[in-house]
Amino acid sequence: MTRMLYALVLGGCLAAQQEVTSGRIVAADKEPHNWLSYARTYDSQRYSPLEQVNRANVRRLVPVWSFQTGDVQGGMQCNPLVADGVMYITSSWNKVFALDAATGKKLWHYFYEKPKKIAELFGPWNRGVALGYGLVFMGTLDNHLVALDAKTGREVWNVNIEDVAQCGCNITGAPLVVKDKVIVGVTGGDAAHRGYINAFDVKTGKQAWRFWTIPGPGEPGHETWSGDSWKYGGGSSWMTGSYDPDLNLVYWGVGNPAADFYGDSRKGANLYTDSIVALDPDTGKLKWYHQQIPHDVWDWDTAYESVLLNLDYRGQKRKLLLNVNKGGYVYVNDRTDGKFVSAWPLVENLNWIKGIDEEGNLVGRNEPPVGQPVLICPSIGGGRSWNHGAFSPKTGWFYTTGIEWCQTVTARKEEPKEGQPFFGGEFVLKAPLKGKAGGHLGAYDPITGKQQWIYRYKYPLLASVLATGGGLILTGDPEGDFFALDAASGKKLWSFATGSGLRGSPISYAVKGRQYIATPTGWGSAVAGLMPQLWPETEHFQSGSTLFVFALPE
Amino acid sequence: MRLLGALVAAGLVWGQEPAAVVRGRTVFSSSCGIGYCHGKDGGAGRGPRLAGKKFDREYLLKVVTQGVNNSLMPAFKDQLSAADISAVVAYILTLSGSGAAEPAATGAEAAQPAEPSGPDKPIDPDAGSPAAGRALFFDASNPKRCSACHACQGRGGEAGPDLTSQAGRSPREILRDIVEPEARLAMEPLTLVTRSGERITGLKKTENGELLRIWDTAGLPPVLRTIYKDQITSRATERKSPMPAGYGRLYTRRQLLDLVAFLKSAPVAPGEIE
Repeated sequence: MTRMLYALVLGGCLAAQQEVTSGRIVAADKEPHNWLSYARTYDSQRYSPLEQVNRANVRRLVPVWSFQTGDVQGGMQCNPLVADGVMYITSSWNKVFALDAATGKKLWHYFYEKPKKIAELFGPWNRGVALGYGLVFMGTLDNHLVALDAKTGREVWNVNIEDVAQCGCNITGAPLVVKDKVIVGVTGGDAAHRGYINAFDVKTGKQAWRFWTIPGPGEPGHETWSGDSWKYGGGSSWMTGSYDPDLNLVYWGVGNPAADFYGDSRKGANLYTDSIVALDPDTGKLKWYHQQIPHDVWDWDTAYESVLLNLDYRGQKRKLLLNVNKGGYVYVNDRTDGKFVSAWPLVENLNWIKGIDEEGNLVGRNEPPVGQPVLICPSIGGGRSWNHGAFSPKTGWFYTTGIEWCQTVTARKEEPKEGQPFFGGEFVLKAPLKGKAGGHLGAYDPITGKQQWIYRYKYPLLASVLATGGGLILTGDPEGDFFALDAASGKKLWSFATGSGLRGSPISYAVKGRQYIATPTGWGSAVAGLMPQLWPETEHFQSGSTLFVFALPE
Repeated sequence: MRLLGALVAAGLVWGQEPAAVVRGRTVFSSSCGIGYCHGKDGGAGRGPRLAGKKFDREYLLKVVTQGVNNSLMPAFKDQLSAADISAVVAYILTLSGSGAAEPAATGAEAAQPAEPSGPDKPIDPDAGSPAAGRALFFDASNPKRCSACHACQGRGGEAGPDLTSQAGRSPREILRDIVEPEARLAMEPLTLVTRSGERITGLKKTENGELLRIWDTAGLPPVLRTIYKDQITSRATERKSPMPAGYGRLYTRRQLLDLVAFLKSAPVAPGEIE
């Protein structure tokens, strides 16, 4: 019986679709043909062990089906999920599609009712859903979390986390299912808003806990905010966290404090902005935190992925956590207690600090003075944007994009208005001091940052990276090329013109023994929108919203 | 000298920008050029580039005032005064090279938002502070805030009754509804038992032959659950309000009076809310 079930699952037979559970995601390596959670595994490595498509044969990779969502505003930023032959994707404006992962045939769709009010500042896009217990979970543009029946797409529950008209915040990141809870963050870091991370009971939608990213009166850390600034201090949680089942800790990145560039009215370190927080998923209680940037005045989020790595370091086996900060440094911490291990620069153009010392303290801060424009590198778009890196256990290297660009920043005194934008300054993109403005994708030693190879490109690379067991590194560029590099050398092995720039997260999966590589395509997003300031021709890069799926010919 | 001063003030001296443009630049940088929107001086962001493009003034007034449907461009009529909208349009026209700005007043009527009526004074002006009551009603840090379930003056949750039109009720009645919610049922609560044995108590939102949508009020914020009728094994009307008890203890008497004063006050335009 067990063997028959196994055969059905491998066969991707829809009838054999098993309920996705947190336990299955913990043991995701037992079913490499699936991609059950945002980064496939809870450690956020974005590595698929599949190796049918590999260095030797990738030049024969061809498109086998595509799917157009029809909603191109803001491009396509999602991360597809695949469970037993069914794929789940999203487009802008909170549209969800369930597709046959082998053929692209639509099984159902769910279009969230267009809200009367959305948080315009944070865009109409969506980065994907979470699966668990027969349900599909999605955060919405008006700050709701909805649960859909995974078989039919019908809404099961819907909870309004906070009124969008009041908070000016929304949800664009994918939720994370951990045990019997679904955990989700929120945008709002550039608005007068107090951030949080919430967990809900998967079955009923009842709120299980809330972790305020800014401590309230009487809580430890509250003293790091002067006056009433804690009420409007940002601290968003807009991307998706990671989970270590052995330590029973969820790791979530917290974004910048608001106002972004003006810090005089929020004197103090401003905890837990620009921090990794480690939470007990059962209670939401804080176990440890590590603040990368006390009192940020540059809009450097710590919101991106936390990659969990078990590596040898100075002769010891260590449980580590790697996080790319928007300011262009990569941080490595011990994930058992948060202790700082190392930090290394991802980009060449960095001038907001002179460096980071051995304890993780910032040295030589270059803070923008009020009313006086100063050159800050990198730009607000980041030394890297949110698009994720990948780790290959085969090479032991971390693969990530980086961007060389600068900006002039003029800080401005600003009073908060609840739920309204709260930047405290403005910026204009500028070419960098060293070299030409542009992007790159590199392979790095995750702890020391030693560069193994680098692939350079004339524009920022804004799509996530996928590493595979076939020795491939896959991503796409703003001109619409989806391509594969050799994980060992960085040599380009294959490329396909999809017709619109890439801003989403590629994945790999298998159905009936055939490996597929899927990527969202469709140009757009906030950072893409800034690019014409440096590269005028990119203003006319056409948008799109199409999922492409590739495989070797049968 | 006095004449020169007047001319400078009017922005008519050669080499000086009109006052509307100066004002418009300030408004632009805090409303349009922020963050990822149109960029500093309209140099492009997620929103379109404005610099170097030609626009019709009436078109800009309309777009800024009303926003653009099915896009991220919001309506600014509730956030900016008519004069500021006119000023920001004058400034955008200077970016686009479509000519000098016109006086701020011209055409402003077209963009004139409906002026909110002045706040009516509470029946008893000493009973409480509407502003303090508003802050309590919408206090984002309080999970039991009224707005988790109730809307008032265009904001807040949908599960409970909208509390916008309370001005005609007596302060005593409103106070009683807050501290003794069980005394009066404004909506009909239901208890459902499902096939899986779950018991759900809450307020019905909609119902058709196939399903029922119910606000599950077991926790806050309330959850809108969709329950298919073939999953319901029993259904009963409750006699008790699902509103949590204990607001008489959660708030001081002063705060309760503030809430009453807020509920009795007239709407305030969103742009005026701090």
